[in-house]
Amino acid sequence: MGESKGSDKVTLKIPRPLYEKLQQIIPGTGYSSVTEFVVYVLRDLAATHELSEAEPYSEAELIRVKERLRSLGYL
Amino acid sequence: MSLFSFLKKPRGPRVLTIGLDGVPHSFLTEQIEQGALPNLASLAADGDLTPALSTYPTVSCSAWTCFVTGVNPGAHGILGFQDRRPGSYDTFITGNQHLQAPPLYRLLSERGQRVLMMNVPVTYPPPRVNGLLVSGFLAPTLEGATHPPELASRLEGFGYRIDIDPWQARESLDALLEDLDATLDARVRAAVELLGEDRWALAMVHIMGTDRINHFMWREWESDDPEYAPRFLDYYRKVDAAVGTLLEAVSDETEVIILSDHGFCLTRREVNLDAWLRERGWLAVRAGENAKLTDVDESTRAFSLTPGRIYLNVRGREPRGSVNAGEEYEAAREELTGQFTELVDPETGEPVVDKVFKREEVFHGSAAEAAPDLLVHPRNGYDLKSGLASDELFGSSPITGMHTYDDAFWCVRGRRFAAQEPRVLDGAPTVLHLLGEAPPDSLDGQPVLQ
Repeated sequence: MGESKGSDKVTLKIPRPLYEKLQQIIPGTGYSSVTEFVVYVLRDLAATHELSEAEPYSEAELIRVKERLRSLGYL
Repeated sequence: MSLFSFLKKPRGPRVLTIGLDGVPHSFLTEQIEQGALPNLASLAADGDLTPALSTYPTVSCSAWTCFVTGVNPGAHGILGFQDRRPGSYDTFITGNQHLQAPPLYRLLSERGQRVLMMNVPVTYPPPRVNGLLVSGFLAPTLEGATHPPELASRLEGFGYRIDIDPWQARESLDALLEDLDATLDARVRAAVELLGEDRWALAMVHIMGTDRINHFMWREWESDDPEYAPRFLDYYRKVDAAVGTLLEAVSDETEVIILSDHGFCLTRREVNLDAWLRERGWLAVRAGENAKLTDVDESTRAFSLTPGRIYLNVRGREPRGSVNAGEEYEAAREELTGQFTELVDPETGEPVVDKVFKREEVFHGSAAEAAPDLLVHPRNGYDLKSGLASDELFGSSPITGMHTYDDAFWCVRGRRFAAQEPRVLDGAPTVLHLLGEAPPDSLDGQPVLQ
């Protein structure tokens, strides 16, 4: 894995045969490159390991949210 | 769903909805005629533009949840920004975790369809979807308001703002206008990028700024204020340009629905229903100043939550209940309903209340039991509030525009609406119909296109 300072992207290395296989799969799927496709798939995979629900509001956040609702006349 | 199942899925129909929160049909058609909104004008000319109805209570959190679930608030469970824990005087802020009916983005995700959800109300905490989602207002910060989480840093790169700063808006309309522009600009640039890169079947892009400018500047607009009325319209021109930019980002085959969730009108007076209930002897509190709902005492027969949600203090249901269930409960609802007709504007003598609904007249479903016993719907111009901190019945604030149940709008590209006026809960069945997806059983809404 490579990481160049200042960039928000890193380089991953994958086996060439896998890369070539993906190149064959992609036509007709709406993905313009193997990179775009792999990012999509990895994002999807990563998502399955996230917490299904975010933490509820912290006390400080709850105060802010109520203030926001009050300022809009909704509370 | 298998990770790769979408590879086998043929490319199907796509639907883009653009929510223009709180834009009245009457305002839109007037400005289209004046030539101020060319993109919306051409969309309406090529398709259809119709007045539409909101929901009761007429608040965005309830209305947009109606849209994404296709059911009434008694079934989806979002009856206000704040709700009460059944059987108590404790309140909580409603969020995505409280939805009791499946929203479009969950249904489609489960069926292997991708979604792109941007800023739709009541999507915080951000639900995990098959696609991308950034929560709408009430998300405290952008970080923690997206799915997947790393989407937040990408959005930050656009200068993305979930909502304007309403306290700043109360202080300065100039600051509000600047905030509105920056928020809209970032929203559109982010949306264009995400619309272009993701294989979504449904994309919902929500503009909350229209509701905000209407709340804070409706008086300036209606009174034709020489400084701010033109700037109000300028913002709408930018919204129209944003619509044009978003449409350029999608294919011509994409189905497009642009809509508002409620209309708007000038606020004549804010009316504190708790103050009125106290004046009429229905409500008493134990504390002095800054009383809260938890301070209501044993003599209380009714209390309320914004907007117009009236709860009887029922023995055996509420901790310090005083009204017996059965005949006494029904008699109290009748008596209170009658008294609301006597609530009038002291200056004009005009009634404040349009309708009083019994719970069962408007709420149906699994969440109806926790719904208010009566729902008061005001005449346009009287903005119903609740609060025990003050006993002032009538008031005013920098919020000079309020929601209306009627005069919302729906606009569709390249299609015609069926005869009936769309209701906001017709959203989910209409979108599913366009996507060729079967609706779940027992939706309250129905497809509204010919």
